[in-house]
Amino acid sequence: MNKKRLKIFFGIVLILFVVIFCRLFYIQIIEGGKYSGISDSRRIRTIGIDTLRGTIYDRNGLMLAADKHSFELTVSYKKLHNAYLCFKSNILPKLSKVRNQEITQGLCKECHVDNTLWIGKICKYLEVSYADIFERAAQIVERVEKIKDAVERRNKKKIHIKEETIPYSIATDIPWESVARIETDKSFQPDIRVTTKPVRWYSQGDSAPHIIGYVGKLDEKETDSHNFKKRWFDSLGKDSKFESDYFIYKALLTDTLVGKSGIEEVYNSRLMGIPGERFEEITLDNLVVNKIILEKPPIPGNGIFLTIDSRIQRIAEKALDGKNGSVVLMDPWNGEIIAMATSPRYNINTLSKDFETHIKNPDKPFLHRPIQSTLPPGSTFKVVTALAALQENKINERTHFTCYGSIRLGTGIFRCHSKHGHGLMNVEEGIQYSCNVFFFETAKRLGGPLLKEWARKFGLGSVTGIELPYEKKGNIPKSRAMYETLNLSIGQGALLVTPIQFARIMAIIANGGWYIKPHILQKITDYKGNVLLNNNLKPTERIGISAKNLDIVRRSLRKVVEAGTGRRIGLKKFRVAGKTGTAQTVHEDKNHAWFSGYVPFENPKYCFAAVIEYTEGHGASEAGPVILKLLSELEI
Amino acid sequence: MPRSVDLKKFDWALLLIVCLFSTLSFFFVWSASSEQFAYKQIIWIGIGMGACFIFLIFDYYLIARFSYIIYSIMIIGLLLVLLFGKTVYGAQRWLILGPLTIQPSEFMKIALILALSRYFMYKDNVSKISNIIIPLFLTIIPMVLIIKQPDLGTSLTLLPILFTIIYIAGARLKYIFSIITIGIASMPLFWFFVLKSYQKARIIGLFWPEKLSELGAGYHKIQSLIAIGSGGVYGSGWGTGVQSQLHFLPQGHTDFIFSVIAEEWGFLRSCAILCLYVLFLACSIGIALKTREAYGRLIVTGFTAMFATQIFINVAMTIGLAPITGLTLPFISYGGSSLLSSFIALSFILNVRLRTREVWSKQAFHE
Repeated sequence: MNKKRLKIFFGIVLILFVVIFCRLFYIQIIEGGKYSGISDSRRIRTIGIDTLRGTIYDRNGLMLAADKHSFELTVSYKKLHNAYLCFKSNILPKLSKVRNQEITQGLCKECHVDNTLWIGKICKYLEVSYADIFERAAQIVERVEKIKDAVERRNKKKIHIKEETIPYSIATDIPWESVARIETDKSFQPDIRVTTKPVRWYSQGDSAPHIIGYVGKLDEKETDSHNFKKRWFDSLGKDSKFESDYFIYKALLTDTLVGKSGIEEVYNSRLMGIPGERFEEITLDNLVVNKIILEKPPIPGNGIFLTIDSRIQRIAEKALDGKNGSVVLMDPWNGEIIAMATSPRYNINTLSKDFETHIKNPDKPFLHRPIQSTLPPGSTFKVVTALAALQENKINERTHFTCYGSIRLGTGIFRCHSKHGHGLMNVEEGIQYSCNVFFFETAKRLGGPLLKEWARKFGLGSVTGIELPYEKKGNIPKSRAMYETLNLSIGQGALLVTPIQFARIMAIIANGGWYIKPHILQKITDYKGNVLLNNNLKPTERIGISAKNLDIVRRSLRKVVEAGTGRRIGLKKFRVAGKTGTAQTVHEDKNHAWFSGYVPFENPKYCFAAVIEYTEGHGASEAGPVILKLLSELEI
Repeated sequence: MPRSVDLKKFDWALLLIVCLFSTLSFFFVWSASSEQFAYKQIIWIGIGMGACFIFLIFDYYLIARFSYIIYSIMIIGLLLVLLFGKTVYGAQRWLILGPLTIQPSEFMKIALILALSRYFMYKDNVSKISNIIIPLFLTIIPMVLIIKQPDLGTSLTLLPILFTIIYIAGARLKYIFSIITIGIASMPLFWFFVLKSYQKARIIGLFWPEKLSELGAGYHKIQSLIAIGSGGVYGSGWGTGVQSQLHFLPQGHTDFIFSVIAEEWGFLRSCAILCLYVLFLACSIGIALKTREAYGRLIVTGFTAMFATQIFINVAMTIGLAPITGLTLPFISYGGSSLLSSFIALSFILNVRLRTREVWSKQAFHE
């Protein structure tokens, strides 16, 4: 029908293709050099723009970790290259002849007058030695020359590469005065410049260092293990964030800092932000920017708000008084960690300097004790034994056992800490005076498997899932032997718990049996302050213990402080309920002193667990005072 | 009534060209992403070829009877996408059917071509304005549904298909021009009510890239231009393109595969590939010219228009002549749905060539 029209149609298609051919010819042949760097006059360069790492705040909005601007000195590649040539051709031969000859100003005068000028000035301003700058220049130039060599060999001709066009940093963290002196010196422009570079700064450097964590550069091994190419493609088709993934990938290829521990590590991807990029057209001769073609602005990282209260955290750290141990203070109703102190600590701001001494310290300052120190809980575990037996109806509040100071099992003798025995005891008194024999008898009735099951129900033997790396899960003994069960009933033997696990047990008792998840993240905001994620965890599940049985244990915990093992601590006026514990260790007369509980008794506001490791004292004399100091400064 | 299949008329040239494209596709998907993706692509090409031969068994006239039904099914598919679709890159384009994720908008193009051709097949002279209005609606309904996803690129490819089929069907030129005039007049409405901000940014980025410093939308374009520009005459060689290997070029294996080809193979060879595409289009126009009966001719020109639009927009986008849209390069870009729809389209073109027939009357068709 319309053969003519078909031909016209094909004609239009042909014209469109001719347009494409012309454009392709223009980009690849005529302007080609501009893009690839083969061109002699102009080319496009891309410059990465650093972004700011997100800020970490405490629950009241106090800044804990933030990026602070610092100054660095950048020098154009051309100048560095000249310095390098000087270093190579003039100094090295002489060095071989005269070993002791120093790299000084005089050496340079012979060949490159320019070098003596700028390097001399910088040395004066920054108070560094000549040799330092030469070495740095040599480092940079050798790296670039290697790349250039490889590229030229592939293309079989002399070309300018991208790395030759960008300035390099030769000194970082320059103090204000030097910046002012360099900036006012007009002879430096435009090759030598001071630019700003963000560095990580911790306002509360020595407080909660394990929680906040620190940042560092990715080492090569880690870069490989990230396997970005694969990860990037895996994420394709899954979410729309592919572009930010791509930028993060690029950022990691350069020297971006990443979180190495604590919150900095766990929320690294949130904190990192997305670096920007700028495309500039430059003239190659003088490296002047003709025009900025495109700029993709950087997006700063998210803000992380912690549940930690900085003030209380400091009080808790002071309360530990330098002894090896830890304190956890938690909201029993929702699991927010208010303070989590560990001792000894390190200062994050000076960590790079002190790293060597800390790593050799036998007290292990890098151990985050509240979540990583697994210890036998001692008598504090008796509350679990009591609740298990009550709930399983093996005992009730009227069940009495008589303590004669010890009981015999087979050939073994299991002793109570009172040599002469406590006499007739019920469960409340058993907890109040921490009578071992009462719990041995209880354990005999209850049996090992049930006791272990209840320990598991209270969250022992598994991590609490707090948002911090390397949490330990502790251990529930597997042995079914009776002597092991008796040991377990008073928290000795192979049972190992972390302080945070025990704070959680106290929370469950204090809040009426609700399972709470200890957490440290309050909310995440973007850099403008809009809330992206609100971490309001409401407990939904309950442990199956009746209110009556919980009341029995709560009453006895109150009695511990009023008239029991904890009466001498002086916590009665703060309306504390708690349980002391002294766990024996393999070392003679070295114990772990525990004290954990909640406050105030009627309407719990905080639950806590304090432990002092390897001490000569016991729970009431060592761990109790820590809580006393904490509460007296808290003013509740 | 079965018709004789004349195997001598099978268009081997067309098949050969597509095989060449498939080979290129394997190697450049490999280069731009990974070996794993390249093998997935081979599997999809296999499935596509299989579908192509299966459709060849049936007479295309048989399919013609179901044109409107196929069209309706695809419209329902698009509605389902809007309701339950899977969201990728902020666009809801995919539908999950068991292990498969399919993109109904790719198949909508085929359904539209079938439906439009079916509409025009017995209209010898398209002189009434009503003969234009109905196809216009047939096109606008899927366009709106696809824009909603939002996928402006695929949606706009339906327009050239419509105009080509109307034109070849013999509509008066004044009708076609009046539609175009109305379309241009309604552009401001489009700008303010339909386009999303990122789409606007891309269109601005086409004309004034430097204005976009804050929006950051010219990013793909610059990266693509740098990739193509650094290719030069001979290119850097397969698997050695800096832009694509270091992932400076996002989506190098799908939408921007032409940039990878141009960077690694250079001007001469990428031109050769474009020439192959021209040859491909010429072959299918040739089939349309040899076909005597209206339906076959219309679907072949429809598919030719579809391929031409897709190739042109995709390549134009990589060289900065068109805004960035999510259109793929037929037979080369990675992606199951687009490959499958391309192969089905190819199958129709081959089918028309394979079965020459007498011109039938309307009554005989409905028998």
